[in-house]
Amino acid sequence: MTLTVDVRLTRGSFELNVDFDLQPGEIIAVLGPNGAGKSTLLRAIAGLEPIDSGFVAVDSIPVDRPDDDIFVPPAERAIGMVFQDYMLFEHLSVRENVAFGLRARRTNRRTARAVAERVLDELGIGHLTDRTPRSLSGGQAQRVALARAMATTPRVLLLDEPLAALDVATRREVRREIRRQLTAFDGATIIVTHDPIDAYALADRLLILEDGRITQTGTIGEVTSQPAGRYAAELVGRNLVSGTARGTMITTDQRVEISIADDHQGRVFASIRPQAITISRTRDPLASSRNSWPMRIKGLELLGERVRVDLTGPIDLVAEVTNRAIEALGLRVGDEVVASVKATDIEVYEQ
Amino acid sequence: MMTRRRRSSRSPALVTVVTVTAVAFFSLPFIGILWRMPWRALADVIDDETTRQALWLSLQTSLIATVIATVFGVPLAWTLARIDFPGRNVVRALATMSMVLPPVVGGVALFASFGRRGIVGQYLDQWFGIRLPFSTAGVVVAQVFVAMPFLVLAVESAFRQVDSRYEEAASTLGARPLYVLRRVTLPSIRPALVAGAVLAWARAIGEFGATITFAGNLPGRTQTMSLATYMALESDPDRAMVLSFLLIALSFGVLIGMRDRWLVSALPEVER
Repeated sequence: MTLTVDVRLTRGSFELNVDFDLQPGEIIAVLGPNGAGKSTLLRAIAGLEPIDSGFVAVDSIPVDRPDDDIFVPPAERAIGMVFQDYMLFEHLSVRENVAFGLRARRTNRRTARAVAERVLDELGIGHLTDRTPRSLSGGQAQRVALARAMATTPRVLLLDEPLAALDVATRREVRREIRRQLTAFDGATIIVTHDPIDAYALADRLLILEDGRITQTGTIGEVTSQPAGRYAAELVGRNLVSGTARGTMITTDQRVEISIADDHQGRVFASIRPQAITISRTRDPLASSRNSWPMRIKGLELLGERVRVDLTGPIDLVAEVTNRAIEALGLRVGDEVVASVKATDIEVYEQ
Repeated sequence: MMTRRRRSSRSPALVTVVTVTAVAFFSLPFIGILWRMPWRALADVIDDETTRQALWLSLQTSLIATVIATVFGVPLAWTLARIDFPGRNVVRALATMSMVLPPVVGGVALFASFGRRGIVGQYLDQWFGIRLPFSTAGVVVAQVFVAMPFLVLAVESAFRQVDSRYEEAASTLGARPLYVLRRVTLPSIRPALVAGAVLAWARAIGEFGATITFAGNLPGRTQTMSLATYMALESDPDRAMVLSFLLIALSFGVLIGMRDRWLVSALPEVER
């Protein structure tokens, strides 16, 4: 086990109480609403926030265990962290920023610089070596921050909202780059995010944190198909379909064709929010939806004012509609319906 | 579309009048000195041995005092800013007391402590044979005593304003506290550090009351420019004018030089 966390920590009225572990090479995404304790969790693991009880262990060696008076300061933990606002040292060049960790660990200057330059090259930003942090774009700064954290070859890598500050186009590019780096990384990675797309694209496993507690954990497939609780349902309870894109058409693994708005090529995920799916009794030839499939209602689950509708057909989908719609249409389990979704409501990202 | 006159750059007439008065008040004394300056005497006074001694002594002592104030003041400021210990406010009050104290009182206090019969001074004398009063070292002690608070206050407030997340980032990269301080915190407060050092230096070179009380007025040993100027005013007003002019020129030059070189620019430090 690369990272084992069993942490209780109280700050004012907020209480964090979590328990999970990570295998070597595993990437976990921590999702949760604001104030759920995501950043506090990362800070506790990094040693920036001492825990009250429980323990944090890296490679089975405890680095924080109050019961035994064990507390290894952040500098001596093999844990790298990428901060939300990158926190690049503005008085140092990009090279010196990336070499910082090695210099702090008494690697000689020449070696530290050589390593820094190699890591920067690997991330495809070798040309930025002599620049100052202030002159970098958001995407470049993010990559330098990642390079800086990875240059010390940590066992655990913590990424706090790594893509939150980037615009959509840069996000996609940096996401792909982070993904490439992380697959080559043999330690454990935790990514804190509030964007499920980042989680799907980067992580093997999801951990939903609400109000300081884990409300659900599991593979992406498990969480998306059976979200436990309202937050998970809203945020990650999406329909996730994998397939191969050719232009504006995706062919799923079950050979169902889905129209999408933009051009894509190769293996992709299509993500459809349950709220974006409309249910009707019959196919409406005049509707603008590019996609509609005959379906059978497998289950109905009440979620407050809304109802989650489990649909089975050419592909399995989950729709979310209001109580009133269910009543107006008189829908019951076992009914035959048509599910439609507009091409523009389908988010596509490359695998 | 409505066009609006730019009003933000205009100030009320009363404020303008008061501002002009204030600027006049600050600039007139300099104009007065320039007006009364006996330019003919300039070369003679500069050539004079006592002037050179005083000028050299002032430069030497004030720079040493600034270095000492920085070496002791920066850790003190860091402790005051970052460590929450009981009596922190008392320590801060003590460390900055000499700033609000009349300098002569400071001199008397130094005499009572570091003088030959003072609580520390008697042992310095007995054990090490060190006598601070009426020595050049005494001048430096007096200057450090009055100048250090300026540095401590400027640097402490800068330490408080540093975004601690930079330091946290450094620590997760493997930097221990002293390394973080040296390579992250201090570089990021450099403008405040330089400003504090300049203020301390200015206070040191202008020091008069504590110096004359504690270290006396011995030409070549403890007679700094300020003392020499005061002495000259009684016997030779022309000489006093020239000495004042030299001090003004020196201080002005340092201020201008510092501002352009260090205070404004935030050039990245690239290690050589």
